[in-house]
Amino acid sequence: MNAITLPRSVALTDALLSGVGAPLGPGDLQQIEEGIERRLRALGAAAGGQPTTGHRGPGGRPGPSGRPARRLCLDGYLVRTGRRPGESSAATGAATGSAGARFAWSAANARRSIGLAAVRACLDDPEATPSVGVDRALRAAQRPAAAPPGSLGRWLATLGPGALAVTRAEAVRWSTALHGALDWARLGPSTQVGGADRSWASRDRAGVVIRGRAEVRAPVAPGPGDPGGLAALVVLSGWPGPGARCELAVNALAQALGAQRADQVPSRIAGWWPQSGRSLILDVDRALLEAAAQAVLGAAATLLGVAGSEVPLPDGS
Amino acid sequence: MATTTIERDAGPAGAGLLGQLRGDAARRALVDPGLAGGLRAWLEDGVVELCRAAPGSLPVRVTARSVRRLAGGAGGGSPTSGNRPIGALARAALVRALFRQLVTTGRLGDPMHEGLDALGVEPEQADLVARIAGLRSEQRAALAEEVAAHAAVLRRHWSLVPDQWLPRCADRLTIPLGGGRVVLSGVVDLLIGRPCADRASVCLVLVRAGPARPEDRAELLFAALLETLRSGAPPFRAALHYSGTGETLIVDVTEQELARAVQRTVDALGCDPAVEPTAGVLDQ
Repeated sequence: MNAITLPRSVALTDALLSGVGAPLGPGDLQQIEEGIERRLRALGAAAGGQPTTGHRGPGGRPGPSGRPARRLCLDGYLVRTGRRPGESSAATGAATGSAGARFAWSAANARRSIGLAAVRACLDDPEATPSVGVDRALRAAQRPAAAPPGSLGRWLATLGPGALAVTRAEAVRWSTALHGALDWARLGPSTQVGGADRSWASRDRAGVVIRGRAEVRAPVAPGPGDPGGLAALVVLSGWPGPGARCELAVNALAQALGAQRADQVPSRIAGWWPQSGRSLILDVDRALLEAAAQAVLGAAATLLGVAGSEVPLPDGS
Repeated sequence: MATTTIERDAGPAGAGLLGQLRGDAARRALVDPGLAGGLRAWLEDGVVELCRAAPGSLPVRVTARSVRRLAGGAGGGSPTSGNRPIGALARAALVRALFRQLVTTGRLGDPMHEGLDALGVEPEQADLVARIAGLRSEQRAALAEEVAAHAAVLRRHWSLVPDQWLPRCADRLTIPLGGGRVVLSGVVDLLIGRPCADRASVCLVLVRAGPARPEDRAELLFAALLETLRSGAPPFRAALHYSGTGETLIVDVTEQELARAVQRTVDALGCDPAVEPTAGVLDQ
């Protein structure tokens, strides 16, 4: 029988904070970025210089200066599933901000924003439970000044007691899971819960944007044989299937390329699936990011309508 | 030996029932950290057998309904909800929404109105909401009356669950086996208690708007099995509340009960009509 460590938060925290295998070397990220740009330029040329249906500019024309008026936004979910942004679930559409996805607030897609605020409240006040944190988050979101049109706060203000109760319950469940997933006392004080999504936009006419998010970003102190770095935890739904590695890798790529500073580049990324209790931990090294870049290019080629045989080969091949 | 209790009179505002579910914390069982791994290994063996015997039937999803059908219940229904009467589907969904509201807020107003309000912010319920809206006025009135009766029972037996108990509602559990060729799935209406370190500390609750059935116990323990596999530790107690009568089936979860749940699940895997083949790759 396979014994496990209980509670599971100890095992996940151990894995998140343990030593990183082979970190990115100096110049790795720049070379990967240049490689993606080069191949996207070729893709854009093969696709006629324009994104595919659903991402063209008005009248099907590219935008000013030959750049597409609407960009092709990709994230790990879309690359894994091969779906077009408009085909994604409402929740994913919200995460990507993708064109074509008609976004509407629901209990399911509101829970992350509320839940992250609730976890932050719990970390600020150790006496607070996730339920208390959610109530504080709901009150803050519904303040008039914080509720512009289309915002979560404005939507919450329209809800009746039944709808609000379901939304609250969803957020409580989500935040309780995240709050119980990690041994927070072992994470440093500069651990970030939530925060803005990271994205990277190509400069070519294909107009590809890669987006990634993390629920937790925790600095890892250097140790013996461990250069330290940044660990990112991503909460995902369902269970880690065959495409889980790809989804996480693309997320890591977006976070790495979208980082403003070197210390914002994740050195380790953990996917955690609370529905199944599973996790998958990946070191963010050059090989992982190159594989992610290849997956993004493959998805972009499909969405841009470039046949497989026309997909430019990876650098050096 | 497992304890089964049928709780009928929960006392004022459900305090008695919540107390019954919580029990005596000091008497909860110590967790065997190898148990979940052993149960999973047993299930994986069953999946290997299925892969050998019927590779073309994969991937499949095993739900509580699969286990219920195998347990001899005629109430298992079809794999999809398409031919279930709209009244039963609507009643079940509305009652679950009201239960969630009651245990998380302690308040219930007009049951039909607030239940529909709740379903309205869940996109996966959009079809059901549209079907309810399409009911004739007398059908709708009958449904509202029925839902109000269930809500009255819920109010009598349940109340706000203290937030220190970490109530989690409508928690979906998804356990992949055989690399995802078989997925066990279910939804628990309420989970209470902290994830455990050494002593079982979670209690799970299902709510049933329909009548009691002999196979309900199997369904309840299937949910307990999923939680054991997910968290690595079994719940100490599982309860099934009947919102029509107010009765609650309460089961102490033991290794023996979980072993029987594994056997029923393995049996369901080998019984084609009981599992639910999917069109392709299961959602991750």
